[in-house]
Amino acid sequence: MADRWLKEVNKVDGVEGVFLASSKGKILGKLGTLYPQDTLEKLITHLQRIIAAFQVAGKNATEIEFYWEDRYVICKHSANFLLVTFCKSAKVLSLLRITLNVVLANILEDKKFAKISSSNAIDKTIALRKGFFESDEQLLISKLK
Amino acid sequence: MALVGNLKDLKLPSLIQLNCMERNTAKLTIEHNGRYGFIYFDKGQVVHAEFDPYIGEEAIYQLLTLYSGNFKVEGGIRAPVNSIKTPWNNLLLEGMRQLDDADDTSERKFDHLFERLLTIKGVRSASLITREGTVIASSAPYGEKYGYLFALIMFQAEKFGELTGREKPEFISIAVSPYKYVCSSYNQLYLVMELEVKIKLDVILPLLKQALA
Repeated sequence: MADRWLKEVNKVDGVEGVFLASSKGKILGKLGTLYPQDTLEKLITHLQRIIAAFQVAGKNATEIEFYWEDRYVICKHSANFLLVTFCKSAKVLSLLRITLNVVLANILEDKKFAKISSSNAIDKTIALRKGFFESDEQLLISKLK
Repeated sequence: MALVGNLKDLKLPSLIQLNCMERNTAKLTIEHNGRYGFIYFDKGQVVHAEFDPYIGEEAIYQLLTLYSGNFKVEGGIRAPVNSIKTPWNNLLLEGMRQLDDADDTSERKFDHLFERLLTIKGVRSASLITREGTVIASSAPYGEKYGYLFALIMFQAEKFGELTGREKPEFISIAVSPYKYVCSSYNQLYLVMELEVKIKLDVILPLLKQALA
């Protein structure tokens, strides 16, 4: 169902893969060369925890970008979705951001996704309460609250 | 009419020099992170200075450490008291000497780093945070839990990097309207910069890397 939107992103030069996940962490669609399912789920967990940390601080993180020397990850967060794109070219980042904004706007207007979105609505701070935490991480979370 | 500006654009030694060489009688007000400092000139001599809790020459030396802050010069205002007798050029020389001595301390090292970062268009503030979330230096006031928040963000970013089979990311950027936070490792610390949300990280990345080198 998400394929037509993901194709739009994946056809941008330099994009290696893209996936769409719900706030609950369920992968709704993926395309391109990506990591195994269990790795993707763990990646989502870390993104959810970043979003949750800002929620606890009373802020809404709408975009998270990771930069390495030759790799980039752009995560768009809107409503109850995460749209995560892996890219290997810095030259296409501007075009990619525009494409992601358009795709995200289309997804949000899609009635089927709106239904999924509402059924996947959760308290996002749950990401800081549920799952395995390392001791350093747990300590920081306790001080943040 | 008052002369107004920011110390980022016109450094305090230049401002003092300008007022003294013009033989001005004036009051210079500096605001830095909610703290106020005052320098009074009388016919081209520095005659009084205040920078809470300092008064006199020590206030001048403390004010000379500032690299940013709004300033205003109002002509014709006389000093309430005369607390400085040292000629202005000797004051500046002594202030510069003290700054040089302080350059070796880590605090000054961070000041220089912040100074370089704050000259990049769109960078509003910068902070250095330990892995435990303690803010050890900041160019602007910050909230009580600021350090813990960004230490946790960097923890997650490092784990994210490990899962992708890479080192920790060089930079992580998070858009939180109306700002954008850009974080990076700096020696054993985390560097957090607050940017205007419209600024694209890839556009200023070469400048950031240069400032951090």
